Amino acid sequence: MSFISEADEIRRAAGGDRGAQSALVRRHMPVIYRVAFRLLRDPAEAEDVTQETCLRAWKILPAWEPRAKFSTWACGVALNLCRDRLRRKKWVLLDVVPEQTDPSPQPHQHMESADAVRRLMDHVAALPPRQREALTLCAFEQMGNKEAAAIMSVSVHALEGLLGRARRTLRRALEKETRP
Amino acid sequence: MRDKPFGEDRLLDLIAAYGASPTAWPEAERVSAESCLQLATQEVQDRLSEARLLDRLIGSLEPPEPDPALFERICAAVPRALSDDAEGPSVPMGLRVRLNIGAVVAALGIGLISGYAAASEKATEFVVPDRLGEQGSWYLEQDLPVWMIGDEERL
Repeated sequence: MSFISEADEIRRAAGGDRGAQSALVRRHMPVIYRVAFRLLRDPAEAEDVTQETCLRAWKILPAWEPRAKFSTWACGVALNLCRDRLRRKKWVLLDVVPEQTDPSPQPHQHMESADAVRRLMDHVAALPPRQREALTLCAFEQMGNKEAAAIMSVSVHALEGLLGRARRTLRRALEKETRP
Repeated sequence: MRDKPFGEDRLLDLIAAYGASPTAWPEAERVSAESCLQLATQEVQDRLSEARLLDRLIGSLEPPEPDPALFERICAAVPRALSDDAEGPSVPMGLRVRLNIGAVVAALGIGLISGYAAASEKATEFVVPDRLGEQGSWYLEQDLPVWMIGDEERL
């Protein structure tokens, strides 16, 4: 089995090699989608962000310089697109009464206690945006602290602060619910 | 890089930020943290069990998977994205700059020629203001740049 470096693959994809293009999409799309889904909590919006991120990536492929990992760059783009959407949503919500969402668990949430997961997701959604981002990248996507910090454009120290606060808030919220 | 020796405080920081599993801790500090764990105090044990609870919940979430059709849609859109961009990057950077400079020079030339032609026409009209009348001079003022009209006109 031959090993192809990321730089080679990107060069081939930029040169029109369909195999390399598919391989790049296949490798990076799921992470981008998951991050977008967890931040936006809407499959359609997550798909839009994923597609937009991939298309932006294609446009810069011919000029790509491997100063950072491609996945770090792509997740950073996706994160910014999610932030834009959440900012716009915030303004819309000031004027429009939101539709009632179905409180039943989503299909991806089947587990021993679907209710506990749903509550966890609600608490995650209620976290301040930066804490939610940090938790999504590190706890859900299990990214390394340096990569997550690079994606969020913060220091590792700041990232740890965000993670610590996020986890503390979640723990307290869950404890509060279980208290009689 | 951490300058201070690894201690219980740092272990507590790691648990607070990354949870109870050593695999989630930063690789560079994992060995030291695990050594420190051997001598864990009651406080560390308490934090670990709290963190484990949350880790278990987070870990039980099934990752959302994208619709396979999304992959097809993106792959289908790739050639379009690349060809949109091809108009620019396929031209070498130096040549592109030269082409841009050429376009600017051409635009300036056209502007100067048409400006000169228009100015000559107006100049002719200024020579014979009597024939233009009230309305004619009003139209002329609209065509003139502000700096030619004078401040008193604007006040």
